[in-house]
Amino acid sequence: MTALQLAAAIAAKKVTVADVTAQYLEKARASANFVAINESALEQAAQVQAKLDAGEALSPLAGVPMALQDNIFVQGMPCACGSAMLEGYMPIFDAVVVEKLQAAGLIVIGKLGMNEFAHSPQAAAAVTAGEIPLALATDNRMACAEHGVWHIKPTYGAVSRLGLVAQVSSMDAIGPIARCVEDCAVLLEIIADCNVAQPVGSNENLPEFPHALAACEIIACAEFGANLQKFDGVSLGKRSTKAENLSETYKFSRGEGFGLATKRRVLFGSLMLAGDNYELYYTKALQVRGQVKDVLTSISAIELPVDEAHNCLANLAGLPAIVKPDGQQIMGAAFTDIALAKGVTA
Amino acid sequence: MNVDMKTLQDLTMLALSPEECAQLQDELEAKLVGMAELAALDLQDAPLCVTPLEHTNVLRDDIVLEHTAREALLQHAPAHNGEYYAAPAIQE
Amino acid sequence: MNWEVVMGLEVHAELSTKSKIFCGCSTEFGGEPNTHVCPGCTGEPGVLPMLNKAVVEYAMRLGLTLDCDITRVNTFDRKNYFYPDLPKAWQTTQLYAPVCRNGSVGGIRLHQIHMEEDAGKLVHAPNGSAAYMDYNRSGTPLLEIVTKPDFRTTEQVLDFLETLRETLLYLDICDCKMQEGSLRCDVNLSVRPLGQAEFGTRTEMKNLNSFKAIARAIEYESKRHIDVITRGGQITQETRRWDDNKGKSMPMRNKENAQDYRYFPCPDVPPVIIDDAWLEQVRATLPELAAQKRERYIGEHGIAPKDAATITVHKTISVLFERLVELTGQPKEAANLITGELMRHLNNTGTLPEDLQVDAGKLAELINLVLAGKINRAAYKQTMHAVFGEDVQPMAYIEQNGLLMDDNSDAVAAAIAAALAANPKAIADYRGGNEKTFGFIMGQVMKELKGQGNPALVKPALEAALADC
Repeated sequence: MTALQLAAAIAAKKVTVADVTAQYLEKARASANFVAINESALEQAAQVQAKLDAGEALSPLAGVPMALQDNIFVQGMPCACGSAMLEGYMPIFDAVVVEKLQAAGLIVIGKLGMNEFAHSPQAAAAVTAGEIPLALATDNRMACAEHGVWHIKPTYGAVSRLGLVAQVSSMDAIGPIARCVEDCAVLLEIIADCNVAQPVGSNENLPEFPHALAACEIIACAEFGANLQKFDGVSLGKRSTKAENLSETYKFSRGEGFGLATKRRVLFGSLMLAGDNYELYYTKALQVRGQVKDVLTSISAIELPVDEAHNCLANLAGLPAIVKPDGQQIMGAAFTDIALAKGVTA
Repeated sequence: MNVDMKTLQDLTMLALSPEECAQLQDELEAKLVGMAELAALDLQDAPLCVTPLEHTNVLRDDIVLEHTAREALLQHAPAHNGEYYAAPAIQE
Repeated sequence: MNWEVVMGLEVHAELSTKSKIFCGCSTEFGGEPNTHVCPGCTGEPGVLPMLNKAVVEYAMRLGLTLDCDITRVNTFDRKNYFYPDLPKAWQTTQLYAPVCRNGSVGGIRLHQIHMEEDAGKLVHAPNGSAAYMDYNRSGTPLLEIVTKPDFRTTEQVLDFLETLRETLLYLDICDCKMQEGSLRCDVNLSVRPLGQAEFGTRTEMKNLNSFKAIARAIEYESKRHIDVITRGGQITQETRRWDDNKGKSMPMRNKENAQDYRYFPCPDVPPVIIDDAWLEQVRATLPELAAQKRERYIGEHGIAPKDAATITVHKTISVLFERLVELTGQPKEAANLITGELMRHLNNTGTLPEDLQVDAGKLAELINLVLAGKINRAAYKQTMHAVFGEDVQPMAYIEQNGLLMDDNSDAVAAAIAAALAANPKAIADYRGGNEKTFGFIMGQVMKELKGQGNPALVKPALEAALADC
């Protein structure tokens, strides 16, 4: 059953929000993909049911349970981003996407695990396995293509980043994961502002972008490294107990708190910004970005493989990309996400 | 091309084990080799694209908004005394 | 060997906007630790900066006033380093496209002015066992004003700072309280043999908390440079901390020296385009500067230049003056009040002009009362100081203390009669042509009236009475 079908069943009173919620809570508790469970889910389910009973039109997905990657803030639930550094961190406000989906009557069941400050294979796995009908995650194209599940990485800027732990500031985009594209599109409409009509543009062979991947990696690592500086064991994050002075507190806390992959990205990011490297590599990367973006402004909808070399294009240019279960992605023009999704169904 | 791991660790405040350091040094140096073509590009005055968005002048009015309760923020501090965040002593 | 001291300044001015540069927290000074904060200015994840429009406009005001070139496309950059007072471990500043370039103050050329955010405050535990962070100040907007190395003497430095301070105050963009840290000055200093074109190696001095400290630091550091070089040594380019108690500068370690800040454009703050329309709007609403006010007071109100200078010594005083003129239409009275009794009050109580709190309405009332002849000058002064000191209600105070002038002509006649009866020699002197005696007799009459006589009534009555003697 798709999420939309589930919502229809709820609306038709064939099943209650509470029953559906309880069912998915049980699956979540039994699942290794979940790192936190919303203990208020049943209470929230009752509130949504009351609104539906009173005739309130919440949204086409009202009453449907969903889960979020553990880098998106849900007040009252921990948010660790898969990192020892943020173990037990309790957000004090809801992400804007959470406010929107709760206002639309969706029920947060829990948080999905992730690779440290990266993507979430767990989110793709949970949706594929039917553990949860809907999920929200940041650029999960690789994992979703591997699992054969639908995912939209939206246009950069279409979805608010407030309440998302920043990884790559100029690329981060929260998007839906579901077992059909219609579910993705409706959830995206709830959390985003990207309903421009699909342009009739050229979709002829894409030129080669030999430096796009390098540019993307440089920019991503530089921003990523800077964004992780705030996790220092001094004003925020887990403090090492072995440190004997300030410098050791910084170094040991971060050394212990971050895994190797994270350290690699942080170091590479700083390397690209240090000394002469800024002119040698970083400004070049920003220039390449500008060129890629310019070339891609004229595309309408183009099918590409899901791999690093092609994923980086949507990240550099901020374009929407829809991953299909066959492992391919459709990249479109900025803010045409919903139209793009409708086109894919057809 | 040698990557100065000592300086990099100091800049990023990351303590690495000798094994981590050696492995990462190799990887970073290999990455630099992979970036050589990009470094060799002559893009002259091509504009720098910092973000895909084209917004400008995103400004807010000079109004005071509600503050966050101190306790809510201090709970995130690795150490605090109820009023201040606490850090190890700083040697000047 | 004749030496030349070469200096440049980096001045940080905390802007007097109501809220911080990138969040809506209050910039109010003081306040319990960590009570003017939010996730943004405490370096929490999940938040985004929102640039305060007033910060840009304050920068434009300063740039226009100091003849700078205003940068049309402004961008912000992240300056990355680790220190407990910097919660995000980066400071958002402007390296690549500062809001103002060039310009000048007096004969001193400016290099640039840029916008940036302030760090929090560190408090050290008395026993040195820990450091405590208060992020109330974190995110306060700053303008950093950097000069070219045009200074050659301490006097030039202090004159510059005095003029800059006055400009910032009158533009209403900074309250310039060095003791609260809203105006901070770092000095870059080097020496070279007189006539040499090349600059010597420079050192930077921080922690200069008053004009006196700046003067002392410059003297010490220039001597130190000359001393080192004369003995064949080399000056190390470094940042040094001035200790005013010990009267010396000492090298600072770690934070300031040999740091690669790895600046890069901040993707979270979109560029700020300053177009002609916005620039003109700010130019049209520039507050009047001290020099313009002085000209106006002299030209329009006929105030003496010396008095105009006193009135404009601080914006608070000139604002008070203008308000009094507005309320009474009496610029000369207002000027005398300020240069006389008000200055006396400030000096006696050691009150700084910026801390002056006085109700202009009450002072205006007093001016009107004395001009209407309801009280005499002595009562005027007395009541005024009661207003300064205890913020009394003028009329209530005057009545309670019996200071209203007596308009009773019978009382005046009686007092004149009594005074004349008691001073026959004075009358004779006066009739004999000694005009000065009139003043003496007048004083005696006023004494009879216990200070409540109205000179405007008494004088003609006394003249008439003397004519009849």
